[in-house]
Amino acid sequence: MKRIIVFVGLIAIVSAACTRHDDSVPPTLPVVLSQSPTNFTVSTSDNIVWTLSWTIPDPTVVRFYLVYTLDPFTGSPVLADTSMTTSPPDYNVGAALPGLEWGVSAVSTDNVESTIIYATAP
Amino acid sequence: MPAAGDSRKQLHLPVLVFLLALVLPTQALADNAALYRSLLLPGAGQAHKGHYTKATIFAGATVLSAAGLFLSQIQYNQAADRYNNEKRTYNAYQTQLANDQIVNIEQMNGTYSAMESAWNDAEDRIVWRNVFLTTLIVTYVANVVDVLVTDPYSVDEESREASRFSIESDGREVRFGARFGF
Repeated sequence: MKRIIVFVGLIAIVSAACTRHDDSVPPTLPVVLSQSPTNFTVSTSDNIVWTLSWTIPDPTVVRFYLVYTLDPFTGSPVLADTSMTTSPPDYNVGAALPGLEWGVSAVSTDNVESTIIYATAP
Repeated sequence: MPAAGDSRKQLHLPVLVFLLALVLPTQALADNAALYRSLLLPGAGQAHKGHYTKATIFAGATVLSAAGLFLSQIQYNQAADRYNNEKRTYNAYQTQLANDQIVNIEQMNGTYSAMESAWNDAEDRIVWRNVFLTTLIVTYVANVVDVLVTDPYSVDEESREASRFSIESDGREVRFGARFGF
């Protein structure tokens, strides 16, 4: 009997020590998502003041927009504005930056940011 | 694809058989040296009785299945750890969102994909782990049963059990022969 208890105890210890994984993958988080802005266009006449415009399929789930510029050296997006709740005003970048690339994304009411859409002046 | 719970349920039977194989030998068999050798090391009892071919087969199968079990368990642990880490990261997004922090959807989807991939890996690897575990237990039990039912090797069996290989030729054709004795 003592021997049985020892072996059962050993098996229990080994089983408890083993890493386990769940029976199934958990469901995705139940959050409100916003679609990315569409028809994103950028225009400028002097490469200093830039005019951005976009449309959004469902503005009711958008809390605000995030506007980015693309760093010309690293190619990574740099956050330029976090306060846009509707169409943005013109942006004055202070110096002539020809070919500057812009990005915009929509943040949903649950704080989930959509995919960033990029555009540059034609 | 079967869920991990099914795999764990499948695991219970071999573990039970393994435990029974360990505890069933009674005091009546206490004087059986070959049995105790086989209980300690599969194949050792057969070697004690003089059946060296069977001893080699049982010992080899035990070593191979034990090595496979060890490696597949390590691989499973790695996949399960990766899954648990990705799951922790994914669940942390919920806390961040509740704390008014912005989370990018691509980042969330990427973590979810990594979590799914790790879960699939863990599912695949636990199957292999169970295959090796079952093989090890079956080998162990077969080894114990064999040593209980097999008589010690006798000289009379030598000519009957010896393994032989032969090549014969009569000038027109060549004949290859093989005979295995256990």
